[in-house]
Amino acid sequence: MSSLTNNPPGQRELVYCHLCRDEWYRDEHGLVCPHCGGDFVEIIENTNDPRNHNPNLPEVFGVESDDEAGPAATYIRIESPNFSFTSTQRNFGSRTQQHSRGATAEAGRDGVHSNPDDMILELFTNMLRNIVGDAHAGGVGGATPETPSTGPEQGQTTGTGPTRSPVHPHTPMPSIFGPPPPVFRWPYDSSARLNPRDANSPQPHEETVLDLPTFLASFFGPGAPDTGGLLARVLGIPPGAGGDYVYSQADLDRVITQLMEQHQGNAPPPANKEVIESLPKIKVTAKMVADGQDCAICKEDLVKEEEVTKLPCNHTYHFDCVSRWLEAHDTCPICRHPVTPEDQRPAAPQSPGAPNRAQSTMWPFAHSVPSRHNRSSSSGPSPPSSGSPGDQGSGSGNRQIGHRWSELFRRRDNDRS
Amino acid sequence: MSLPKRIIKETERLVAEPVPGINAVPHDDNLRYFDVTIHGPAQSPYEGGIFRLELFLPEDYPMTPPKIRFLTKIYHPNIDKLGRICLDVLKGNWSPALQIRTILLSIQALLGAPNPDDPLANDVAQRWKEDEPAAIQTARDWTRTHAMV
Repeated sequence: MSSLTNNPPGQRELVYCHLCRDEWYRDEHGLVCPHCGGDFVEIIENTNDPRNHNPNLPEVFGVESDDEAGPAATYIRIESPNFSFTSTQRNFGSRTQQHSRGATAEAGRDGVHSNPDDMILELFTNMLRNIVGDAHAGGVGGATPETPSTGPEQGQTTGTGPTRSPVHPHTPMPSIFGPPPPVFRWPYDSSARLNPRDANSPQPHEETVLDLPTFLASFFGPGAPDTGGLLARVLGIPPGAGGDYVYSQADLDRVITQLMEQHQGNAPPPANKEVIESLPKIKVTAKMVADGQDCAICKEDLVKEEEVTKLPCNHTYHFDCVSRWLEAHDTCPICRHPVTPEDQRPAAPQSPGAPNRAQSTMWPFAHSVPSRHNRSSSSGPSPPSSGSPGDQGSGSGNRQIGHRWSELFRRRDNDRS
Repeated sequence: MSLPKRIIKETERLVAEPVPGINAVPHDDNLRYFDVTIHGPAQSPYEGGIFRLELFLPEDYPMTPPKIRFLTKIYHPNIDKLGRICLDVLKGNWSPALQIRTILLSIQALLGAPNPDDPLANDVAQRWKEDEPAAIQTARDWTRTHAMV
């Protein structure tokens, strides 16, 4: 922030807020907007009045080259009795950068634009596009002076000292020192970053503008500028609408699907390892083979004299098959009876009387329980909630998860609408 | 990677003894990936419709459940707009003793008995609870539009 300005001595500095377009005298309110509290402010100078721009351009008075401005730079000056507009065009290879500066418009005070919001939005979009475009072109060497501050016109400056800025000869003195008129203003453009208005007189808040390309690059990475996406962020357009939002709909769906798949909800905890190891092993009898028993996990028919593991519920499996399952979940795959004795189980909160979801559970295994292994004969008192599969699995926990998911979906849908 | 014997057996049996109203055919190039069709159960709003699903047997199947998704649009409180299915046996109630055919039967049963109290598609469930006849009519309309080709 510089205290140096190029206004003539004795003039009070007028400060302009780019956010709310308020204006005030610097000696009264300083450099923070008294209206909106923003600090995106600029001191209005003779050579740079960020406020006024009349889009209904009057006739073009003249086009001239300016060698001092660097290679292939052209000034376009547009003037009318109450309006002047000076534009600098500069070519960077094939790219053409254009900016306007020093625009004053008495005519603009009448409010030519019928919809100020549209205009502001349009200008804002252009501003972003300029900035991103410049960054993309590698033109971040923003120190390149483009303003002809040392040109032959310097003799016509209104400044009186070495710190005074030259005024472009073709830009009439704007009448900015009276009460600020309520007009539509030029919010900003990239020229402020690439082209200091006066090399001898640093401009307020210039560093903010200089940071923008870095700021944008951090969002988009090099080579992928997207003003639309930035606009979506800045203006708060909902996710998904901007097109390149991190959480695109597809991404969100994928993540949620993954979470849903990973979520095992009320799946039973692993069985005790020692209990798994100590499960009794039996030889397959001729009767078991005759009954057509198989291992329900690998679906292989049992072979006579083969060794199988018998669970407390009397269901038999290959040891390798069932131990793999029990290490993940302490239930018999067929009847869901836990193998770990009740007193060795980790305290698992079971919600008795949980609502049943029988209609969604198909339990096809009753036939595979050998008739002589009826449940009453199995080891001691049958543990609670181990009987029919329908009793388990749709406990309150499951329901809560369901509600949470549906809440998530509802929120997402709301976001989209 | 070799295909576990169990998957081969299941596939053979699905072909040899098909479940009425259910069809599951593995892809030639990926025997863990099945194209599935399920006929809407009689006396349900899905009657007459043929619903396409995709089914994938993950690496550690049958220790983890198959991944199943509706491909045909369906208006059902337990099936969301991406075709994901809210079914306990596909999640925490999975057991390695279950198989493709039993899971597909469960899904067919779910079509016959929607459960709006445990919803996945919340808007559908809400409507199902508030105005069941209207919701059933919508399900019927969707069946006609999307599942009868």
